Amino acid sequence: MKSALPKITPAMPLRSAVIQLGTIAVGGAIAIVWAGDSPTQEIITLALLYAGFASAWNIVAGYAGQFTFGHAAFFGLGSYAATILTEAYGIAPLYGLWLGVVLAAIAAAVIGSITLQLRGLYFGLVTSVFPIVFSVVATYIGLQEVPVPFNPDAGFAFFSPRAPWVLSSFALGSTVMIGVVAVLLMRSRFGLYISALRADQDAAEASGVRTTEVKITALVVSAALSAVIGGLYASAALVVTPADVFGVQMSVKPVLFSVFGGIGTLLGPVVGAVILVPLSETLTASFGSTLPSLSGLVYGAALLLVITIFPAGLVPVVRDATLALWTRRGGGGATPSTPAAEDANEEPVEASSAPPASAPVILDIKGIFKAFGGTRVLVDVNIQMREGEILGVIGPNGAGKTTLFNVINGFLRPDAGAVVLLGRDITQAKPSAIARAGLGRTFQTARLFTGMSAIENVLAAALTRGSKDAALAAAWRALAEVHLTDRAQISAGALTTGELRRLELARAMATAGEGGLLMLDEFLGGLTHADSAVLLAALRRWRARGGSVLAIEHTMRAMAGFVDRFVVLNFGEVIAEGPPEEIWRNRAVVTAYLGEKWVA
Amino acid sequence: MIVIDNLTVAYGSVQALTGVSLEIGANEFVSIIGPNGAGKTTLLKSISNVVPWQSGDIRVDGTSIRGREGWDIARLGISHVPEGRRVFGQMTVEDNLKIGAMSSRVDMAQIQGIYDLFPHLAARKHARAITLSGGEQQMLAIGRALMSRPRLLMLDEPSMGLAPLLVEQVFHHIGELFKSSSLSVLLIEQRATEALEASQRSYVLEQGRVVISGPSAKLLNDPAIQSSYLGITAKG
Amino acid sequence: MYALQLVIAGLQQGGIIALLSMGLALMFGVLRLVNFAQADFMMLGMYGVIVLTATLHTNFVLSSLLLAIPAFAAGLFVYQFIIRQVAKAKLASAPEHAQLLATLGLSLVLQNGAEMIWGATPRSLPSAQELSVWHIGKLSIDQPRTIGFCIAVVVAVTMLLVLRNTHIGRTVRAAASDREAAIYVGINVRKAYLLTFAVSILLSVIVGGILVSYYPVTPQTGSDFILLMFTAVIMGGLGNVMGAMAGGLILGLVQSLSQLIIPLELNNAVVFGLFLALMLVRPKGIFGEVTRL
Repeated sequence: MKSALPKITPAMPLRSAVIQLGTIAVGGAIAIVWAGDSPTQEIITLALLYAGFASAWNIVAGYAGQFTFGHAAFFGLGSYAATILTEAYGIAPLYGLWLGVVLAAIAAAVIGSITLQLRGLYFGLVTSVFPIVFSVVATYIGLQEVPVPFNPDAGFAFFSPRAPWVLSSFALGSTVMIGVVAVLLMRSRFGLYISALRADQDAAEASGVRTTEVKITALVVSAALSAVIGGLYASAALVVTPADVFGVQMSVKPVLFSVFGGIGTLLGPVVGAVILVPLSETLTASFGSTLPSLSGLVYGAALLLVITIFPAGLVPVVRDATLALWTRRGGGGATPSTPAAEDANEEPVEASSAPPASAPVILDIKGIFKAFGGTRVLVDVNIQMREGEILGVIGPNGAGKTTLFNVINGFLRPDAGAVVLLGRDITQAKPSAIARAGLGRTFQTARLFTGMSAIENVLAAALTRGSKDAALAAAWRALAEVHLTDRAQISAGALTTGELRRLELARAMATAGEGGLLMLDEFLGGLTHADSAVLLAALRRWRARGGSVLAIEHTMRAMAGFVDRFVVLNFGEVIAEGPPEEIWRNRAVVTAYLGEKWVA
Repeated sequence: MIVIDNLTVAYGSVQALTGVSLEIGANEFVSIIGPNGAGKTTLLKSISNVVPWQSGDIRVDGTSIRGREGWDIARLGISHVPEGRRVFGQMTVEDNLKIGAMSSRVDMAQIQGIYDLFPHLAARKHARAITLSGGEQQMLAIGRALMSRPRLLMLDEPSMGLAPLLVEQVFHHIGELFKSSSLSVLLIEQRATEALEASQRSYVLEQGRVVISGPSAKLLNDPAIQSSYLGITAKG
Repeated sequence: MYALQLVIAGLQQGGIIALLSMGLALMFGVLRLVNFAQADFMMLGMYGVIVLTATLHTNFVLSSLLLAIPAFAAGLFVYQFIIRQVAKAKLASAPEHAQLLATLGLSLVLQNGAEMIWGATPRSLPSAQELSVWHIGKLSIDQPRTIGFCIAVVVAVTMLLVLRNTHIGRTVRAAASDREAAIYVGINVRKAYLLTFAVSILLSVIVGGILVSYYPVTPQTGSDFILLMFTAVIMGGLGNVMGAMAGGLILGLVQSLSQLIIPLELNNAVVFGLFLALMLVRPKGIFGEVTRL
């Protein structure tokens, strides 16, 4: 199995990243040299600082999909720390700003652990409040206006005020550094987790990704980097006020620049800042004396325009346009290969046989109760599964099947009862922990990580189980199991229904690990016979290798001949269980499905 | 009154309906059966024009509804009882019925008519809809749809989540409604047997395509249908 | 006695926050939109009343009424040409945030635009200087604040009655409850959204008209209120209009009574503490996050 694995194309290829960051570095350096000692240098400094700030924000908002509207909180901590240390103890801002970095990281960890349980709009709303509070506190403790001590002859660590290029060079260096951090982060296993999280938080959690930790880490990194920029900014602004560094406008700026340039791209935030900051500064320089609020107006109007006219942002729009042009010239454009159903060696699996009664219990569901509001959805559900068993849970729509799955994999907490997986009580565990314990699941409508390639979808799950090499091997093996090897590099968003379902099974297999338990929610619904055959064959091999399968369907027909045993759920209660032939003849089952009159 | 001509619907790369053609005449009871994921719900949503379709056409009384707003479809006399009932939970039973009338002038006699049809609702007219049982909510959803005096009533799995006894009640009501008026009914069901028994004509949908169609009585006795859709009758 | 005085002051302040928050909650309940610019429309309303009162030589009540028409029109315009456009052109990476970003942009434009026109120095109605006070025993009750409170109550009750008991109100509630089901019963949800947005903006402007009778305005006045509004709305449960009203009143009382133990400058910090505690303990609000209009 140690044969050479096909290379995967990562979401952020190294060569392209180096070219982009190199362009920023060289372009910035040229601008700095060109501006020399002229006042333009100050504009360049500001543009580069905001480019860095926006890039830092982009890590948590763009890559991880957690929109914060309060990044000024972290930025301002950097500004205040650097300035207060200089003013009170004469410590150079170059060193002082690191205190800000530490404070911002701590603040982010605290804020993150409080707020990141919230999702979407709630999270954005709550984060917007923190800078307001910091501002109130700063004002209360008498920090309404802290000037940066000015000594024209101060040295390098004070950013040599006589040579404005020193500060702009630091700004450029920081921006490039933030870009490097983003690239390293996104190319690590963490990068896959982040992308998975952004695409579908629940599916990521169910695939073993500890989403809360991933979010907090992304926020802490982003906050710390923002504080670096905040520290440098103080030396450019010369005075630190709460209204400025903790202001709404400061929180809006990274959002605006990133959206303008392209959220979630490496170059976007930088492009946004480099275009908009000089524009606003030039306008302010020309008309600012008569219209002091012009810059805010420009930023607000720019944000409105971008959102309404090209919400994808400048960089993606330009990139797509160039790509289209290039493709039209006949230069490229990969045509997706047709999925060959016979690419993996389809060795016949001997007719699957139920495990002996002596096989160890892999899943023990004990007396589960669950109600939503006044409606009882699960009533004293008891199910035992043995290792190597294929168990079908059937019941009419609305019988509580999916709720049962959500209780088992940790999305829902039962009102009473316990779930034991492989001898471990997982009733109170998080979905990611349950997944790592050896449980992979699929969803009623396939939930893949769109925007990631097929192999990355599976790899993100496999990585939660072990080393990178082992994960890569496992991911390729899982893809081969469902005959998707030749679609590995295709984005999940471009796959057909059948392929999505197969990919989801591969991801679930990678999540559970060999010998684990798979939970499949109506996995055969709406599939062609060819696709169904691929799935069923893969599942039989899974069982032959020691794995177990728990599958939901709403009709028996689909799974007869596949399962060892059925459990029939009706109105949240187990009304029958046993081998298929026994269930056929069960009076309670017939009544549940077809009504009283069918019972002869 | 409705003709669906070679309709194709896709969500992104996922094909939901492929070249579906069917028609429903005036005062006709048509059912559509098929497994989960076959595209049944998508078909109803296409008629109500809340999902865009890629090709083909839907014509009501000979006129294409392409480009019409979803809310105009209801005003053409097509009433949709969605899957999962979807009553307005925080509003009272009576307000749900009033809103169904699609007009600020509500005929109280008409509401009384609905109460006569579903006496359970009358008893709970001032309760918030969310507090109703599943069966009562289904009655309310049907009542709400009837308030606009439709020509075609479209029902998306009215049996979902109901106890067998209630299912029989709901189907009984639907049958009575059909018989006592000039209403057309388009019924989508998992429960193939009940749907075939209640309807005059049926279509079988599989993976977004019509695979079989014909008079319901004929389909009910078709061995292929029996083994595929009537579940346990296939035990042999 | 001092405590009773504070309770009265708290209710007066709370009434204003309540009405403002009800608009925000209505908008969220129906459109699922968090409008950052909501309080900035109040600020515009305050300036509008000052301008109208001065040019037409009338009192603030009449100018507030006159202002209602352009306020409603502005709401229609903003929804039709900004919010709806944004909804159509979705932000690829975070569709649910696109509209929020748009309102953030709008907020900046309104604040800075106002500063450009009226400058940064606080302005107030000439009549606001004359502090008229009723004395009841040892209590002194501020007249303009009391009148303002009464207007707020009347407006709030009217709105609730309209939502409850009219066809148009039912339409809006149905659209809020289930967009798709509303379409199935023939409701023009686009019109319902448009109307809701405009009414919600109108509410903000009315609050501005009330507030300016005793409170000076700066371009940043809106920002001063946004934390209060968010807290009240979250307290009541996002989208719960009645909850927002209760939340606003409670908040006014808490703010006012906290003066007994905490310095006035930290007033905002008290609000924030409440906000945080709520997020931790009951993120869905005291009354639950159901759209209840």
